[in-house]
Amino acid sequence: MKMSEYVRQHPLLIVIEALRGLPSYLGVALVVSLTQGGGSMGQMAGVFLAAFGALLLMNMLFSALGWLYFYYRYDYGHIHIRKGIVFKSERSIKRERVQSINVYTNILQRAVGLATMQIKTAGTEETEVNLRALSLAEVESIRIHLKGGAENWEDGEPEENVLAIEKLEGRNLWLAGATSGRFLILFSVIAFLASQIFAYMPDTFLNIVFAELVEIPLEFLAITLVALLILSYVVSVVLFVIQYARFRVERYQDRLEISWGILKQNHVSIGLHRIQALTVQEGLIRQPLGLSSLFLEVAGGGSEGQEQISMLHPLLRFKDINRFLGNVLPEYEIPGKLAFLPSRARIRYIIRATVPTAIVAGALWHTANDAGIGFGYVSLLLLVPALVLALSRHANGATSLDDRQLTLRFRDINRYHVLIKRTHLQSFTLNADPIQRYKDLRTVNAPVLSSPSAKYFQLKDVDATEALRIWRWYSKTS
Amino acid sequence: MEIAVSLQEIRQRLRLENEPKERIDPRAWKVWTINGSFNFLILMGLALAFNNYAVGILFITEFHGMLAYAVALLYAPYGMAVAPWLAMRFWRYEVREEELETQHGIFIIRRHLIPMIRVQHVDTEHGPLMRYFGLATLYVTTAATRFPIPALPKERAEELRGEISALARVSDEDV
Repeated sequence: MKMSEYVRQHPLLIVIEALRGLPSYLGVALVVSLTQGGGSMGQMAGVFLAAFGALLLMNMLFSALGWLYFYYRYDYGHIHIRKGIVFKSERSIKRERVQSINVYTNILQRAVGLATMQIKTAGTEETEVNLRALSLAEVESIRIHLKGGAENWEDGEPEENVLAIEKLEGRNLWLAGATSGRFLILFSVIAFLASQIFAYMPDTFLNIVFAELVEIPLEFLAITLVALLILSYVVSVVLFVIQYARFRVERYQDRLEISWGILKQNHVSIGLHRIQALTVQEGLIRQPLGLSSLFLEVAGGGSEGQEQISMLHPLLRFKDINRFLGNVLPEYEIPGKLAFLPSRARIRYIIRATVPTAIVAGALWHTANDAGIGFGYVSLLLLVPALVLALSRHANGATSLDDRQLTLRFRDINRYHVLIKRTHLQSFTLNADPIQRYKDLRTVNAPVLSSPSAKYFQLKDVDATEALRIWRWYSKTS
Repeated sequence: MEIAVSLQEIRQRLRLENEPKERIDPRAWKVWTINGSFNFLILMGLALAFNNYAVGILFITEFHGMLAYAVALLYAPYGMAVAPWLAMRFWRYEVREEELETQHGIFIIRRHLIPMIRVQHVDTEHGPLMRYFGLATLYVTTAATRFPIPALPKERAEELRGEISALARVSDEDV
């Protein structure tokens, strides 16, 4: 294979790039046709098609130019990019600067046997190079060339040992979808769309519908609503399963390789040295079932990086986490012993949650009274969930220390365990307001690196001696 | 007598234990007081403008105008006396070979512990007022956060900058 010459990507890139913006063209064309289309339906359709065609053509042209003027070249340890029509730019990336190489394929790319390769580097701007149309063989070849020591391999890649493999399959995958809690988002989207349709119906038609609506019994409406809920639930579960099917984590000596998806396939590799913290999230629906999902805080990489990049596992039994970690990431462990928040902190949690709620409830009551609605006092019922949340937050707040790892447990709505190695803590902060000082309580703050910027984990009202113990554990001198 | 003892105890409890050793320059007090006075003047100006132009429009009454003055006047003792006094009282720092410790706050006291190996760079800055008093602010930056130590005598700030960056360079084996 020749490596010393600059080559273009696959010409199908033009089509892929142009089609990427398809939904937005539809939207723009719709807006144009609605505002400029004049009165009749036919005219509107004509304008719509013309606008859509023009946009598509324009983007094809731009994509074609982009393809024409984008070259890449690679050899052992380097990849070079050369691009630009008027302003030319050249960029070389050294192997040492590469933070991660991720490969994605969507359904369109897979139909033609191409893939997107994303090469991430450390830094503040232009942190990633995206090659959107490479054949799978080319992807593999680039990956090998950018790997350490590749130039010494006589023929191809030496066998590398997979230390452990973990998968998410069958029943568990469906369970993950069923408990993902996404259906509420989907339901609101469907409800929003349904409400928008009304705006585009002719008035006379609406009048007839409303006249009929009065006749329709309430039960029918309720049933429709429930049916809509169930529908969005089922759709959300199926979508989740499609998104995370074939989920797989592989542990190598120096990195994790995570892959998932059917329609859009994702393959992410994360160097171990980039992992800054591990978060265990127990969602509101999942916690009672003893289920949780695992996320990684990963340093470096661009801000465009996808959210899922930090997913380590979409669904694990909480009891199983330590077995899973022992296999895949033995550096981290869920601690057995926790130091809970002292009971004198409870009142502070209650005040923190209920006072703002009481103010909102009071305001609601007041406006309801002003508007002449009688039962504004119902808003005071908001205080009940606020109180429950406060008590639960207090009961779930905890810290734990072992030789190398600090664990913070806290709840916002979901419950989190955050596991941080001592060497990944960037600094450590204790806060105390006068009342906390009087009551011997402290707020602990633990900043870690993450992408795109740092993350601060905080636990309020920790016992002062416990906080001091963490301080001493982190300090090198005391 | 009983009360005196418990007052003592309360004062004790309102401090954090093991405070870092070094205080910042007492001239900081003056700088903060002057800053507070400027803020007070700005607030008064805003209140004046509010009374002249906004009162009478929509639902804004003269009562609201008085309220604006009251806020500005209430700020005066806080910004010019209480805040500088408390800030001065709580500001502490300590540079050790392995780590840097700072403490500051007015009502909420914050205590930071920054290991030298996490320090990315150190720089000093001084505004016109600080410069007039011969003071400078030292900033210690980690990959996640920037920590200031304000109002150090200029020479001391330079000295510390050199010291910390030398200590920070000693061990940068891991990210």
